[in-house]
Amino acid sequence: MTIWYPDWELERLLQALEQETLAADEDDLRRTLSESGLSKAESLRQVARVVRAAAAEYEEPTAEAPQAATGGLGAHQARWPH
Amino acid sequence: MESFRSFWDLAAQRLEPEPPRDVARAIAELTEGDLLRLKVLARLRVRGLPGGIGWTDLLHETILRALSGARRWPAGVPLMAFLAGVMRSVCSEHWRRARRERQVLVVAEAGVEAADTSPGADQERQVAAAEALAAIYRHFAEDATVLKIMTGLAEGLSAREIRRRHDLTQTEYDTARKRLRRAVLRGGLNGPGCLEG
Repeated sequence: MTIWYPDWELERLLQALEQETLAADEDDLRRTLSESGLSKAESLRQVARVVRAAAAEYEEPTAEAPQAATGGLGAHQARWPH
Repeated sequence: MESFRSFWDLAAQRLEPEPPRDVARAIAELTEGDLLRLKVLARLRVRGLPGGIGWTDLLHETILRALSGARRWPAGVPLMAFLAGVMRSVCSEHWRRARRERQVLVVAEAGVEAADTSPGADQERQVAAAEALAAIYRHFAEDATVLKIMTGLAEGLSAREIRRRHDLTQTEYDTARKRLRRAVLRGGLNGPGCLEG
């Protein structure tokens, strides 16, 4: 399927940068993000907060269902920084 | 006859729906590197989105869609590549929604015939993209290597083709690409002058 982008030139550039980001090592990512003035720990906290909030919003309607149904997203609490 | 049956068995096997992949568990198991990657991807993608959408909003929506199954995680696709695709699609949808809302306003003000629904009607997105590109080109006006890379990418060339065409070493290419990515992330791409200063 061909997807038409009205901003194709910019889209190509973004997709190339996206590929590079997917392949980047952690050190490169940390340096990239530190330029925005945030430490790695702060960045991680931000992202983890967003992901947890989305997971909670998704789980809310089925709050009474067993956790296993969604893979137990509570795991975030233990693994990711607060 | 035996081989005929084998063929149909194989075909039936292929037609069986694959079991749903456990997106929630995979997301819960993202590494710190992946979390940082998600932030970079969201900041890259949020550029110029209408309606003042921030990177955290974009990431939130992406995760929500992945979990809800609104977008299916195809077999063989790494989770991060899948999430990047979902993010891209969320952005496109924001643009479409903004365009629809604009059309509703036009229709309300001037009647149904005034609404232009052709792809070319997505002018706001095109203008935002043109401004963002102009800002990047201005920012790198003195950086010949980045400009060569950008031109190559715009022509749809692969990294290897760009390197070969401009006689760039792998290191020169990688370093220039990092400069480009960091500048785009640092400055954002939200309109004229966004990368200046």
